[in-house]
Amino acid sequence: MRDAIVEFNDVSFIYPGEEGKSAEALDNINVSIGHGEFVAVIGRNGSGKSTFARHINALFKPSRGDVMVDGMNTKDDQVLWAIRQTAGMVFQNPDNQLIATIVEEDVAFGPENLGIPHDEIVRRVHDALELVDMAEYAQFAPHMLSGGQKQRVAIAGIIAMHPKCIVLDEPTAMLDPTGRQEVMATIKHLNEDEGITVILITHFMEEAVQADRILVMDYGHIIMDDVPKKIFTRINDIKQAGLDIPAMTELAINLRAHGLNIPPDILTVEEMAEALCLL
Amino acid sequence: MFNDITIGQYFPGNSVIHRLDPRSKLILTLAFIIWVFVLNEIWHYIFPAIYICTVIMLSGISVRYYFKGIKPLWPIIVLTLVINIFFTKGGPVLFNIGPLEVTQAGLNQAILIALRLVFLIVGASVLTLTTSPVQLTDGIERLMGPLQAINFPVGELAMMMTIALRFIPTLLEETDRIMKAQMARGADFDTGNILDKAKSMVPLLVPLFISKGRTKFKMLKFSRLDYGAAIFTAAIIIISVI
Amino acid sequence: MSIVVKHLTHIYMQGTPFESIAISDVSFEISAGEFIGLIGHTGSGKSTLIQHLNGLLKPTSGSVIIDGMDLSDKSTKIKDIRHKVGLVFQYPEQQLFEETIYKDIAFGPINMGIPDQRLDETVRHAMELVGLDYDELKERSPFELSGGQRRRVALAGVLAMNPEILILDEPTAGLDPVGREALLTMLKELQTKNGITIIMVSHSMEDVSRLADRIMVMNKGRLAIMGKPEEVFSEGDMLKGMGLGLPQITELMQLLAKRGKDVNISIFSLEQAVDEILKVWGGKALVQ
Repeated sequence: MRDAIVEFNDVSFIYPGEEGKSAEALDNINVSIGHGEFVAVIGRNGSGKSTFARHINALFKPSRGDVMVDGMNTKDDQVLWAIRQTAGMVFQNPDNQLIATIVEEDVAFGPENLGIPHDEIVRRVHDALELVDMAEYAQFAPHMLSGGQKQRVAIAGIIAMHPKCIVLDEPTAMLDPTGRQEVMATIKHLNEDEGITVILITHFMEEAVQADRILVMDYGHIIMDDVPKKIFTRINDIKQAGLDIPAMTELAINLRAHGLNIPPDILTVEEMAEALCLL
Repeated sequence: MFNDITIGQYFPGNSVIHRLDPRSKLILTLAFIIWVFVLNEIWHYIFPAIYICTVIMLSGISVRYYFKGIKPLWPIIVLTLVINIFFTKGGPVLFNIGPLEVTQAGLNQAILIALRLVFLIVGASVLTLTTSPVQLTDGIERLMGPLQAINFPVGELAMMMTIALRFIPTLLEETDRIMKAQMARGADFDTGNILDKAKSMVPLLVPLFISKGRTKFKMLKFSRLDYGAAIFTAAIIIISVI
Repeated sequence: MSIVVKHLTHIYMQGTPFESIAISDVSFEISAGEFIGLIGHTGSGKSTLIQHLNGLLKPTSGSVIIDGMDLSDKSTKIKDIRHKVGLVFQYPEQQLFEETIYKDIAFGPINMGIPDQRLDETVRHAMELVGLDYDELKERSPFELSGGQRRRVALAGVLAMNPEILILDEPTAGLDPVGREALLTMLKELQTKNGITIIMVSHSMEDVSRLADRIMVMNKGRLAIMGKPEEVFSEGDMLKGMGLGLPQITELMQLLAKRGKDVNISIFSLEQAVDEILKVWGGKALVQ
């Protein structure tokens, strides 16, 4: 069982005082996420995807069932800090996450709390900022950075704690296209080159398609769990869940309906151009 | 809208003054302030003036920036000036304004008070402009360390200060935005909900108070620079007092 | 109501070490009833620009003329302009402050001096425009609602002032696809049915290309391009140089053109793309 970094076993969650009527609650979730996977979680507002994310680093604890993070049960208060160190979390609003007045001091905040020796902190802070490509901004004040840069600093703050897994709850929702690209590039780099497990909650389908695996949530259930190419060919299910089809997939489906011989599982512009040029 | 506020804002840099240990800066600022309040001859203020000008030059921050910090405090300075001019009696009467007479002592006293206030503000600005809030609170925490013996929550106090300072610009921006949103709906100015952001910070504050054994990213260490600054300050104070 | 902006420049914190030029020599005209998409990445000056259109910021130089009235003129009452030009900020739901939805929406009309007996009607009408049920919701606290609904309340608060021009700063940010679609449909209806001039700031090329009659692109404080969507999108390389994307459909067409296919590179909607591809590829590619 140690192969999985995150495991949900029969997990249900009900917000206190709203038994039976809350749609935000989780309903009997069973899922297992392996070391080094890049998983995207999509679903409409209120589908339970944020609640799901918050269970992974024990901000929420299941009403029923167990959430295991690297073999530790989130219900066990003894291992709370170990869990939060294993699974770091990045939130939506870039302005609320940076605590210190200088970038490098912010990144140092987590390791300082862990009681890590001074020399080691200095090294970790430096490495983490290098990793998110923000080393040259080490001395900047947070309010002088762009949204994308702030989010990368927030990610560095997590990385400095050496987590095995990083959970991002709509990290790009408040960013402009440039900022979104920066953050996505950082996330992919962490996953592909550093082997960190990434769990990305997002509204943007073009971000979800970059993952290895997509979980689609609706009404507190995981209704689909598959690779991106398989997920988006199920157009009706996706629309039913209140989500968008990537533009290129939709175009492919339309062209097929008109008799063009194009694969139905096209996700990106490049794939579409390739397919058309082959005709 | 709030762009004029410079007090308490760190101005990043790498000057000699920036590199001083925050504890030195705290102690020296305190010494400077006491010094400024002890002097009671106007011409003696030439020494703190030379001292602070040297420090400002060394800090590499434009003089204009320091004086912007004083701007919002002008009303207070002017008010004390006026009160002292008219209500301190003694010495020969210089001239009359209506029923009020201005005496030699009154004028002297007023100028002294104004000088003290200006030096106080500029001195404190040097400290806050050249010391990042984290460094500042680390310094305070260490200087107040002995108080822990009587169970004074030094660490918590220092952390509260850090976070309060960090969120001043954020709160000001937020306040500005909410005010504008309300102005756009025809309000001249009204109450708003600025507390929300502070409230959302609560989950972040919690771990601060329950965590133990925090280590430091930036170690505080007295260097030759600190001793140099101390000797320089002591020397000029002694000269001025003599 | 028309908007004319002439040689508008705005400099923040002039005369300090932090001086920065937010917008520089921007000129354009918008006629009544148009739907304008305003695009540009963070720091391009678009937020500064829209705050000039209802007098929240004053030009450092240049002029803003709304419906023939110069906002810099002493005789122009800025308060009246603010009633005619409704401005909805980013994440407006964070700026709600009253304890009931009714009170929050009525805030603007009360400031305008609308008589009490017409207040109910005004609030009801504004709530209908954004698809909120007056009787069910008016006494509720806005903070009980979901994020998407709170945003509608904030929008109703601006619409209740009956503006002739509506400016929205990224109205769909953070909404899920369904919420986004509903909001965009509503905005288009406000333009087509109620004749409101709309300026929508957005990062989404897809949204803007679908809704806007004309698109303005801001870059580094200057107005880089202003024109119909197809005109703007045909400048693909220029947009990319500014860190802006193209709608994916347009990007596909431009990629195909680069690969030597003879396709129209200014197409941006799905239907157009299907027609164009079928036309160019013709019968030869059809499955037998």
